Amino acid sequence: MRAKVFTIGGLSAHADQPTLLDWLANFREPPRHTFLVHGEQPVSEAFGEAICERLGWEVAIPARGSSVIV
Amino acid sequence: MELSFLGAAGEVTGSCFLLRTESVRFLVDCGLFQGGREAAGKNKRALVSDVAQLDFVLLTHAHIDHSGLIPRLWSLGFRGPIYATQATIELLSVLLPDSAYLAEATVARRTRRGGRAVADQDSTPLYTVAEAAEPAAAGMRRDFRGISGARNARPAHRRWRSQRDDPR
Repeated sequence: MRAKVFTIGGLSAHADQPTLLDWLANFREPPRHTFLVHGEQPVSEAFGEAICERLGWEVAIPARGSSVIV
Repeated sequence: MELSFLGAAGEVTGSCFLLRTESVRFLVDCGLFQGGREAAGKNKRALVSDVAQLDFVLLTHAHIDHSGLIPRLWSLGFRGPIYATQATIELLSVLLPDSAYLAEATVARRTRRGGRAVADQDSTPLYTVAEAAEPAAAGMRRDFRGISGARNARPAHRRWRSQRDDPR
């Protein structure tokens, strides 16, 4: 088969960690709550630590089925 | 306001968040769990206990891990409005039937491979192509002003709930 595989990153519509951190850094005031979802547990934990380190926000990684009052 | 994380919590797929106030309860996204051995079971168990209480669904975008349980919600009896942008609605008219086609094809493949030994749970698709077309045709709303309409209907919701003596 005469074919090549190309990866087109932009189609995933997801930003990577540095881009997300830059976006979060634009908030004038930190949000009262920050929940990390839509990521595997180890990835979410690493990203949560990065947010805490760079912005000082408290970050929660909620478990499936859990609830919070906001 | 109570926020419940029904999916995409500690994992990528199955985005679904339930917001509840005294007057209204709605989902933000209604996504399919994808990948891994547990996905099929999670998809079948999802939403069963929440469906009767929902006022509406708000879809952020059309990706199946954010929208793929909409036909399941529909077959569980939900008939409320599903709010999304025009572009999302157009994409869903393709993506939801396609998701159903994949579910049907998976079951057909498993049945061929496993014969009659296949467990009941695996012998029916989560939803069929015909079922996927229903909410795509009947439930989608692109006029977001309807959401404030839901808020205006607050007294009616309250009456209805107290009549049913609903503890939630």
